[in-house]
Amino acid sequence: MEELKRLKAQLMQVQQKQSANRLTDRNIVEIVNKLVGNYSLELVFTLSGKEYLTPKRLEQEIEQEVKKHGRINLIDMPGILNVGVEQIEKHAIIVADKTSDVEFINGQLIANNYLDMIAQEINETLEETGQLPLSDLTYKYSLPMQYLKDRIEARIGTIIYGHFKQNNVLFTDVYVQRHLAKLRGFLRGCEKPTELKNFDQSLVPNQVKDLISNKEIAGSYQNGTFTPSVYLDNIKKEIEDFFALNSYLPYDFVKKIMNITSTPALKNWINKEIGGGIHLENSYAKSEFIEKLRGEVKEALEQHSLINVNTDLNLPTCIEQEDLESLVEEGNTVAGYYICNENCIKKALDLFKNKISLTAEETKSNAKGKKSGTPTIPKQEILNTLAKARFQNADEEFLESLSEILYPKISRLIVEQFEQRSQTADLDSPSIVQEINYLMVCCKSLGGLSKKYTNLKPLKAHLTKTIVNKVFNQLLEIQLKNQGFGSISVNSNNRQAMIERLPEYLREILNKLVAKMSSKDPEGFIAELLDNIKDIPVVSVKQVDKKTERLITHKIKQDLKSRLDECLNENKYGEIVYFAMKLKIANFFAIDVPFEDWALRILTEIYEVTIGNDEAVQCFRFIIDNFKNEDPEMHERIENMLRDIRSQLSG
Amino acid sequence: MESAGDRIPLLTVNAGPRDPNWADRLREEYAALIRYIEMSQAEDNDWFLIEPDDSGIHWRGKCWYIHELVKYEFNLEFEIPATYPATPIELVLPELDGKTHKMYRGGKICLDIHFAPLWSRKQPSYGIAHALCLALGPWLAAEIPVLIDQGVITANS
Repeated sequence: MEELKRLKAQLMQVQQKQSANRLTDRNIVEIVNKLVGNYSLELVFTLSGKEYLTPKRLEQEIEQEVKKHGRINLIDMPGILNVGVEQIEKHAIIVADKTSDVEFINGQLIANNYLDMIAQEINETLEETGQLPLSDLTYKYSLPMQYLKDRIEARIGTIIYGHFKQNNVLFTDVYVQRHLAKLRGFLRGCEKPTELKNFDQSLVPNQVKDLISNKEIAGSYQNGTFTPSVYLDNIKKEIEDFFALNSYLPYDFVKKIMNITSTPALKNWINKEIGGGIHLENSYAKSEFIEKLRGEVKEALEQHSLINVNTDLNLPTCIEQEDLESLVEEGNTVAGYYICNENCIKKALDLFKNKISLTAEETKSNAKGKKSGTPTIPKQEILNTLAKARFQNADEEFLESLSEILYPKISRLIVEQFEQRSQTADLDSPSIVQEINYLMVCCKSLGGLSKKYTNLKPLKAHLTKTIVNKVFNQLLEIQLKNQGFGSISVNSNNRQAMIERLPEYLREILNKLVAKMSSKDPEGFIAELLDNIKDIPVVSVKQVDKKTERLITHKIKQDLKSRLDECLNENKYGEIVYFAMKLKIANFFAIDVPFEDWALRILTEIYEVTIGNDEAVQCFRFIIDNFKNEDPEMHERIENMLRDIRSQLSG
Repeated sequence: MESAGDRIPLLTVNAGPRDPNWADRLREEYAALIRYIEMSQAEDNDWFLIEPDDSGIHWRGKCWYIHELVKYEFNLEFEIPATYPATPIELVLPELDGKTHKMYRGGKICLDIHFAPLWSRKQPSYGIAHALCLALGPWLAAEIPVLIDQGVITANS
């Protein structure tokens, strides 16, 4: 019975116990997801999916592994840590950042102790070999060159006893010193340019330069070759001897002996080391030497107008055809291997004199026919002409060169002649013809008036003084130019002197014209001019025809109308009267008299005899008599009158 | 995987309350119940609390069922019949009396169809623990959600 009680108590006790809190895997997953989602819990899943890791734990594990192995590839880690490679890579970088003695490079984590270990290894190898190229090390340890170099450099002096020299080679000091000593000995023994092939190429350039700059050895180093000073001195001496002996120095000789390939460098060297000469095409020569040759050429040209360089002169072989130019004096011409003097060229040009003028003439007529093209004689034709004339009995080679030289000269001559002709043609410009035509119209007016009006003398004097004088001076200028005296401005002072320059037949005609001018006889002047026009060159005029006359009259009227309009707008009384009268009688009277008292009176008189004594003329006379009067009443009267005239004129 | 019912120790003493061996039988009943409760607790799945009188014939307690995060708790009582273990125990949930037709008058749950044949086949080796595990447990799981859906019982009833 006791036992039953105990069992009952046990049953009750068991039932009172807290039951274990048991969660299913599904619930756990959900809870974890909730924590990750809502409470920013960071977790890393294992590859098997049965465990979670915190990033911190993963990083700790990574660090432990790296320190254990020294160097570990990330690809090997998933197997060890049971975590995906992406996660490992992500956290490996963090580990490398956080931890000073772990580095991440090329997908590998490397611990500092590993680097120390390889540094010891490197130092051991270096002690054996004396030098160790970095490329070998990068290959051996499969690490990037710069990375490895930096890590090695950081351990130089502590673990590694050596230095980097050029070309990324690691050397021990002992090795470098021994090499320098060997090099010094070798170079001191050198007599000729020597290639330093048997030495350590990564040390040679710097060590040789140091030796040279420290003056331990004398010479120069270039492109792996050492040239001792002794050798240079010897060569220089040889070149100098040659130059002193021959007065010239062929470039080829110097190039070969000095082992220089470029000509500018060679010229520089010569200028610096030799000097005192002139550079020719292929050689360097003393100035005196060139002067001597010049003298020879000059002498030969004095005797012959044409010399053959090869046969007539004894020039040294260093003188090339291109150098001849520098040997001849001005005026003399080089053609191939020939030199000819001025005389020779002139003779040659004489052969073409006719042809040149003919071509110039043709070109002129072509130009009138609007045909374009540069006037010239073809080279072949020049050559043929020279050959035909057996010029100087020279050979064909010379003639060819000569024709090359003559061609531009001939072309220039043709152009010059052509331009001269064109200028002469320009002289018979229409301006003088127009002036003469106008003069003839004026004379006709005089002829017409003479029946009704007698006081013509002032008009004739005025015409002579103005238009006749102008026509004569222009005529004289044209004749002077045509006779080749150039453009000279003629006036009454130099007129007679200028006439004297002309040929006699012209002088005669012009003097006759002068006589007519002196007697103030424009009509006589025109008559004389027309009589002799056949004998006057360039200028050509004939008696003015009706058509031209009408044109001139029309132009005069147009001009007067516009002037009158201007004056009407400005209320210039005097001018208004003056232009109005001139316009009214323009059909009978073409002479341009000035706005002066005498002319106004004559104008009124002519107006009276031609148009009649109308209101207008009375009005004009009144105005002429009074337009200087300043009485305002008079002004008003004049103004009214002018208004009438204006309406009359416009009507 | 063997079910919870299979893991409850089988009983050996074939004796009812009126038999002289009842105490032995009762000892076995306690042992089986304790074992079952421990198993349930280990799986965080305990769902009843019962207490016998000294004779081990009258039992009272509570059973509960969790549906959609809400715990529904009911009183539980039963009596060991005189013909036990040939006759199975009649489990009574008085609060649910009249609320479902899957129940006899007086709140006895209906076990005829499923459990009674199993019991008659297994007796006398099945005991109280088996009855709770294989009869009341499934009945609650089948009926309570229906009753909740029907609104017959609510969270606070």
